[in-house]
Amino acid sequence: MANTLSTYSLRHKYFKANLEVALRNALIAEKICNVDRSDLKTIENPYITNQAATIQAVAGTYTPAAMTVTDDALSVNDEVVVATHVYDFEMRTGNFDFMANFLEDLIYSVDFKIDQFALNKILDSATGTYTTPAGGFTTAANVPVICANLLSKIGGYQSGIAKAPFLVIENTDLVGFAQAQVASGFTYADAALNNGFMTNYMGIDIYVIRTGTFVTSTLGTLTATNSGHRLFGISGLASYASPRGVAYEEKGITSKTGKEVVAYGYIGVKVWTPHAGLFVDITLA
Amino acid sequence: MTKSPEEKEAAKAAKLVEKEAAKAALADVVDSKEDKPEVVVPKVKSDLEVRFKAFLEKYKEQNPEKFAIKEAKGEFNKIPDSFV
Repeated sequence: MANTLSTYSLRHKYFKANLEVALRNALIAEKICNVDRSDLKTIENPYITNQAATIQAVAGTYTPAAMTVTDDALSVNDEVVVATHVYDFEMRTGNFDFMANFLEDLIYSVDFKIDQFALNKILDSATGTYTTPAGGFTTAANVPVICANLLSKIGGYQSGIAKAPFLVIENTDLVGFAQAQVASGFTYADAALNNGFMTNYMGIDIYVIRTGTFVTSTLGTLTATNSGHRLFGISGLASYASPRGVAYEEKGITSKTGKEVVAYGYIGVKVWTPHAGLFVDITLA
Repeated sequence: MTKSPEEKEAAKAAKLVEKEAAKAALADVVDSKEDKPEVVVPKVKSDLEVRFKAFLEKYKEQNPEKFAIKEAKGEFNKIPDSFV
């Protein structure tokens, strides 16, 4: 004989005091960019066009050349915004602090969209190009070949491979990358085997993002055609401006109880014209 | 019952007349088709294709160099999943 017990006559326990959140993507734009959060609309960065010096047999004569300075600017032209409303009856009778939990999730949404915009903007601005061998990063044998080719594209410049090159790959690329790491030599392979995916390979900082971060779509003022592409470049050369970072407001709304909560941020991203060649738009074959 | 030679001749002639008539009828059909060419109905593009075309036009304006490189590689021949 089985008893009939109601749902709420049995003990419930909550795993934690806050609402669980959906899986969150890695945010990497700030790690590869020069970040500015000051109150600004534009950052001006005019550049000189390099003049080649003349080498000649000793003569003592020369012709002065006119120098050219060209304007280059980063402009904060995009805003990211997301909002929701939490009613008073929800706040009063909820088992969780809905306002705080929802706000935290909204702020992450804005952070992610800003990050996605920055990565796509940098990739779109990259003037270096490279097409991988067939199989791309998913074929382990290709990984050192690809990395060597990418390094050769930035080598020889003062701001080249002596600084910190980075490579942004998608999670699906780990199939080949991880295998390439454990098949490499000695202590590196041992470290990869013991500790898992290594975030530096051949001196390149490897960042992994989720598939679907690089998109062919309209992102604010950016028309991006980056689906299936990857990004290589030098850390700290691209600039990312987000005046005052991500902000939020809680406000009362006419004819509604509770509060509307909105999270928002502003973003401008620039690959300075003289450095555009140090960023490589990688196409998968 | 076996046919007489005259009857066989007559049957042969009738068959020939039938063949000629069929040939003429076919010629009429062909002629009429030549007079009235087949109507070709243009393929209707889906809403997604129309939007993708407009999107590419905008990208071409924004970044003509990269547009040319990517178009040459055939990247725009297929609409990617991320385009909605």
